[in-house]
Order: sequence, then structure tokens, then C-alpha cells
Amino acid sequence: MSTTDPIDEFLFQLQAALSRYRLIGPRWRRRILLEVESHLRESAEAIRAAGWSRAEAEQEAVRRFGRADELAKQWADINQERAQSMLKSFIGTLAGVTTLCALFVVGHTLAVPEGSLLWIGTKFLIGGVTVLQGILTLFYLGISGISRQTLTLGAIGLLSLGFIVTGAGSYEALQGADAEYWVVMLGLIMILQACATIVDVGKLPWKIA
Amino acid sequence: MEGEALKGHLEMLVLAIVGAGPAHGYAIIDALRRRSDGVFDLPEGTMYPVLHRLEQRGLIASHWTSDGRRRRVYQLTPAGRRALTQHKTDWFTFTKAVAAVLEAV
Repeated sequence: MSTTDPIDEFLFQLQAALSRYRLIGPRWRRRILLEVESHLRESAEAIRAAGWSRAEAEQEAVRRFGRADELAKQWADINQERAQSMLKSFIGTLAGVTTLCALFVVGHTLAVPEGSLLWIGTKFLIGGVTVLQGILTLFYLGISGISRQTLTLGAIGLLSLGFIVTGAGSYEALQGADAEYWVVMLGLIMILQACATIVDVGKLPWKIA
Repeated sequence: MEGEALKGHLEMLVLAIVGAGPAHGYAIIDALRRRSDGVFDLPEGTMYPVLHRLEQRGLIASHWTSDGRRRRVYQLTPAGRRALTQHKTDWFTFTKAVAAVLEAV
């Protein structure tokens, strides 16, 4: 890019500033630069029409536009929000798929004789997971007054529980217990849901209102 | 008006200007300055991250036009129109309440 006039010089600085943020991809950078150039040229023309020289008008248009590094930071923040949203969707999808798999496996496990220890354990686990799912749904619906701190603590609690259930299920499965692998899946669901909550909490204001 | 005070309301103001009809970035900034009699005079570049954020949220849509100069033109989406209506309701409720408190002094 040529740096013969103030606008080209600014675009060069902006390109360099945008390049420092990996979240701003080449396509997005190109769009920003084209849009900014169009703006600066139009602004300079309007200033020239008021009697300024070309060089002064371009300098003034750049001055009115603002600092390249500050603007690049604002664009990076937007892309950060987008990346978080995509991550949340990915984790949510993964949690959904895992839930479906777990339900399928639970269906098989329930084929064990009624009243046996495994059957009772299954009932309690399904009940527990249902309650946790309900609590998380309420979180996502945004109950007024729940603080970010409460959400974070809840998510950390769920994460810990998920690791315990996954660990216990894995241990039982390694010991050769029959059909304990679905416990591992339930644990993984808890971990994924906790992760989704933690990602969400990062974007929330202090109070959900 | 102080830049920081304005920034909190910038999205609502941009939605209002774009709600009046499709416009490109320079025209939006110009309209903001003119309609506020020069009170809202931010660094012009500040407008673009705001426009891009609104676009990513699906509140406005944009496309390139090239009638002499290549410009990115923004327009309100149905979701943006609903958001603008809500912003306006909230804002008028807020200003009315503040005015009532101040007038009582």
C-alpha cells in the first residue's frame, strides 16, 4: 500500500493494528479497510468543499476519524463476542448430542430387572440429572436477581460433580461392571453444561435482569 | 456531550438513524451530528465498530453499493425495528421519570 497521502498512511496503520488481532480474519480486515477508505475519501471531499486544500482536508478527515489502534481494539472486542457465541453454540450442540446418546444408552440399561440395585441407581441418577437440567434451564432463562457469582459457583459445582460422576463411572467400567459406561456419559453432560454456563457467565452483566 | 456518556446510547441512536432509511456510515455520522445540533460529535471511526456489532446481532443488514463511490449501506432488519421500539419505550420511560424527579426539586 502506498503511503503518499494521509489517508493511505492511516489505512496502512489501521491494517497493521488490525493484523495484531488474530480474531479479525483477512476477509473481515479487507471489508473494514474498504469501508474506512470510502468514509475517509468522502469526508475529505466534504472538507475540501469548505475551502481546505487537499492535503489539509485529508489530514483533517483522518484526525476526525480517530486513532487506528483504539479502533482496532474495538473491532477485536466485537470478534471476541462472536467467538464466544460460536463456542457456546458448539458446546451446546455437543451437550445435546451427548444427551441423546446418553438417553439411548439409558434405555438399554433400564432393561435390567426392576428392583435391582442398578435399577434403583439409574432412577436416582436420572432424577438428579433432570433436576440439574432444570436448574440450568432456569439460569438460561435469566431468573431476575441471580448474580454472576451465584452462576459461577453453580457452574463450578456442576463441573466438580461432573468430574466425580465421570470418574466413578470410568472406575466402575474399568472394574468390569456391566453397563456403567452410561454413567460416564451423564458425567460428561454435566461437564459440558457447566462449561457452557461458564462461557455464558463471561458475557453476562453482573446482574441478570 | 462527553464521549463516554454518549457511547452507552450510541447503539440506540444508530438504530434510530438507520430506522429512518438505509444509509452508509458517513451519512449516519453526519445525521447524528446534524440532528443533535453538533452535541453528539464523536470520533467518526467509533461508528463503524458499533455498526458491525449491530449487524452481527442481526439488528441491521448491509450491502455494497457503487453509484460513483463504493459504499456499504446499512438498513434495519425486522429484529432491529423491534429492538428500536423497545429502546424508545425504555428511554422515554426513563427520561420521564428523571424529569419528574428533577422538576420536584
